Amino acid sequence: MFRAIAATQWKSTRTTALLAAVAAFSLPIAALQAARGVENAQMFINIVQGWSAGYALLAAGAGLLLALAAWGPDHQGRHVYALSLPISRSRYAMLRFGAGALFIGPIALALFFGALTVIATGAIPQGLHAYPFALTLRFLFAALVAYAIFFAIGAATTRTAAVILGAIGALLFAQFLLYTLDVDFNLLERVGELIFGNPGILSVFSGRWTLIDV
Amino acid sequence: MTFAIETKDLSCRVGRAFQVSQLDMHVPQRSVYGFLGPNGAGKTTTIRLLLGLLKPNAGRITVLGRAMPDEYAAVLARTGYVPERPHVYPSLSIAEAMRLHSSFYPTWDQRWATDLMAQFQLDVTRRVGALSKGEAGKLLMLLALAQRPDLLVLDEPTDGLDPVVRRDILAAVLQFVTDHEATVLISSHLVHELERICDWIGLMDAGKLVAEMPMQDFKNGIKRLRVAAAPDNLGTAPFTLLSRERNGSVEQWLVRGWAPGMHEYLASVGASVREVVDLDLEEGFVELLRSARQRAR
Amino acid sequence: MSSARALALLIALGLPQPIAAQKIRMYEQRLDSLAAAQRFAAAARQAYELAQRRDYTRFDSVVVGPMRIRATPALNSLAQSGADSVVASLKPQYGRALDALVGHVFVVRDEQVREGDRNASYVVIAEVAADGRELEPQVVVPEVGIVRNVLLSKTLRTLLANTDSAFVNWLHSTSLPSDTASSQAWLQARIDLLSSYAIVSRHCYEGDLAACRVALGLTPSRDPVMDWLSAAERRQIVHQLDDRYWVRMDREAARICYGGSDSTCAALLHASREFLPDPIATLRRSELFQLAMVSGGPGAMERALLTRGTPEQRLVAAARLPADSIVRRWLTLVRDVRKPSEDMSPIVAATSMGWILFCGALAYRSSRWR
Repeated sequence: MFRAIAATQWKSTRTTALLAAVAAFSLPIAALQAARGVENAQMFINIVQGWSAGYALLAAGAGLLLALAAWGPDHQGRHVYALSLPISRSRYAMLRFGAGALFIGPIALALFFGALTVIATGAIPQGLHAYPFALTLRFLFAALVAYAIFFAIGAATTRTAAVILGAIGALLFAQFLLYTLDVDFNLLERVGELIFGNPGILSVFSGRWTLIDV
Repeated sequence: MTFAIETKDLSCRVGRAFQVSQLDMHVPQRSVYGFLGPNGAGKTTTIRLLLGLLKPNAGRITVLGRAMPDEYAAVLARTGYVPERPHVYPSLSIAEAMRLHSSFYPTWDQRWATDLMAQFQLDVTRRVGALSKGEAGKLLMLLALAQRPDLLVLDEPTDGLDPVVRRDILAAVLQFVTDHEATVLISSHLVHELERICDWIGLMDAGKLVAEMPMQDFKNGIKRLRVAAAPDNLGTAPFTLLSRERNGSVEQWLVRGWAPGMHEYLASVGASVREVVDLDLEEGFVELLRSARQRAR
Repeated sequence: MSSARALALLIALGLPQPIAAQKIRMYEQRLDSLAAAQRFAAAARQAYELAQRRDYTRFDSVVVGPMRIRATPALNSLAQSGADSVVASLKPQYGRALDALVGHVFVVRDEQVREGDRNASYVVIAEVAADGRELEPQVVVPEVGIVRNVLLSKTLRTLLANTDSAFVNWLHSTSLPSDTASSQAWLQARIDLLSSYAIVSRHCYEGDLAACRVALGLTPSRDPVMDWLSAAERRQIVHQLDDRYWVRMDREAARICYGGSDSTCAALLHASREFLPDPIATLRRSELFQLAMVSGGPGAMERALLTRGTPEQRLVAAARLPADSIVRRWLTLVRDVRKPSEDMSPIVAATSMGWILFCGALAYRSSRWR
């Protein structure tokens, strides 16, 4: 059952997964290329670290697209096929979840091999070190978190999605009201800290992402 | 008589305007039950309720001896379902769709699926989304039949299909019924189609089950009579008066359960039968609907 | 030559085109009047500070060992706890050197600051000069930890100021260390060495102890231009300085330098010696003493401050080790210390797993499925 679902999900996922894998493999190499020839260690680290956002964005993007692909065929058919299958709905949701999560592995692996390639070039300046395992693991967790979030949203009803959008809209409106009333309270900043700060749901995305460090 | 499907006071509101209301339905086991009704009568909604795709607001549903929607997984494992619109993922090829579908049903018969494939002349490499309406209909029927279900639920399976395809599909259904002791619930608004294969009929209109009877009774028992001098009170008539229209001195009656010797009864109450008209299935269907709507008003 | 004239000439030299003599005189006069205005402002500020001298006789006295504080009665306990903490934390290392605080008085007083339509209470911490002025007052919120840290910082600054100017200039820091160094410090030192513009720092990283002594300033360099830099670096720095408008380079000499004449490059840099920064941050020198705290044990900073001599002699006294041993230990730490990657930690993993499971449970329980 899982294999069958994974096989069908692979069909709608493979292009995304392959492109993401290529991007993941290339990112560390591109970061190294950007810093090539820089002998100043601090400058080297700064340049490589400048690609931090790339890892985070790729993880988030891969998670989002794989989650969309997981539910895409069911959304298209208004879930009639899934609901008419002789398994519990929760089990079906878990099978879908597992199948999609499976495809994040190869993307993370591609990143790992990209990192190993960087190390193999020997272009890392003296005194600096590479952390391929840590970077890959973080990427994996970040992509899985993004995948889980969007998978949960995809599994929900339209009403739930509307509630979430409404909540975001209400937050923005509340901030606007505070600003208009000259109240010195940055609501968006506080919410941002809750979400991106430890142990927020997106905390894995914040902070430094760097393959090469001191 | 045991029933494969039984509902009691089933009610469900769908949106603001439409609802299925106090539905009492009985589909005998091993019957081919034709579920008739005009467009928008609630047939598809009822089928979705029976299969657990919708939750009722009130009432009880029993399918294959199990309560729905609580035991949906067990029921669906023994039920083949062909929905109104194709529900299989369009990006899959036919072979992939079969592989996926078969993984959920331990009773899947691959050999028969292959035979049906040949019978329906389907190419396994073709994508589901690229199939014509007829080919998609055949595929859905193949998937439902190859499961070897105890209950086959078909929602307008031949709607919009050409006569050749319709014939192929119905032939497969009949073959299945012949070979297996399965129950078939088939909904349609094409009366003549159902006449050929069904042995029970349920007529639905505006969310209510208007009539439910063996097909034989439906075919033979509904007559239009022209009656003169009939009293208002007929007493205990041996037939069921479905509708009565006054048109001058002669009334037009629609009756169910009419038998040849019933002229005498009418004579006993002072009425006389001027004419007895046999209705074909479609006319009977229309008359039944009309009388039901009149009663509802 | 008056300073105004020198400044005027400098400006004139800095301008792209030659300037007439009368304009130099005009600049001279303008600078004279600016200087006069600056002197007036400084005098006015001094007068203001003198006028702000407070009568501390009505303040409470807080005495903890050699530390003396004048505190407003309401802040007595805050000052007391701050002083207790500072003395307790410094005593093991600084010992008798703390006695230098005896002649110094600090003040901890309240200050009301208008914020919008209300008054907010703050604490002002400063050293009180002999004439009653408050030196470098710091305004902070009345929190125990913050007050303690400010008192600590001012105490260490005072202790340093009490040593000789040679040591103060060498340390180039505003205060002495209060604790041993963290691993982050060694990592930063490594970055410093590897990012330095000067070849002497890289030689140091490669293990050349003599280069380390030069980079750390333990061995005074008679000719930094030649000791710190390679020929290529000299040429590169001439180029960088040439780009800066406030450094007036001899264009012809610069051209010869770029052509490959190292002696010309060196001569240009000798003329602009004040623009050459130290090979590595002088903060690293403070870290030598933090290392000395470890090897020298309790009383290390006491020995450092009470020893009269060169910075190296103070360091040796503090660490109870030869200078080369200290430098060797420093270099070992700088080269060998590793830190775990900031990319990943058990907390990140656990948090992520938690959210993944939570979202999975949400999908599991979605109302679409019930």
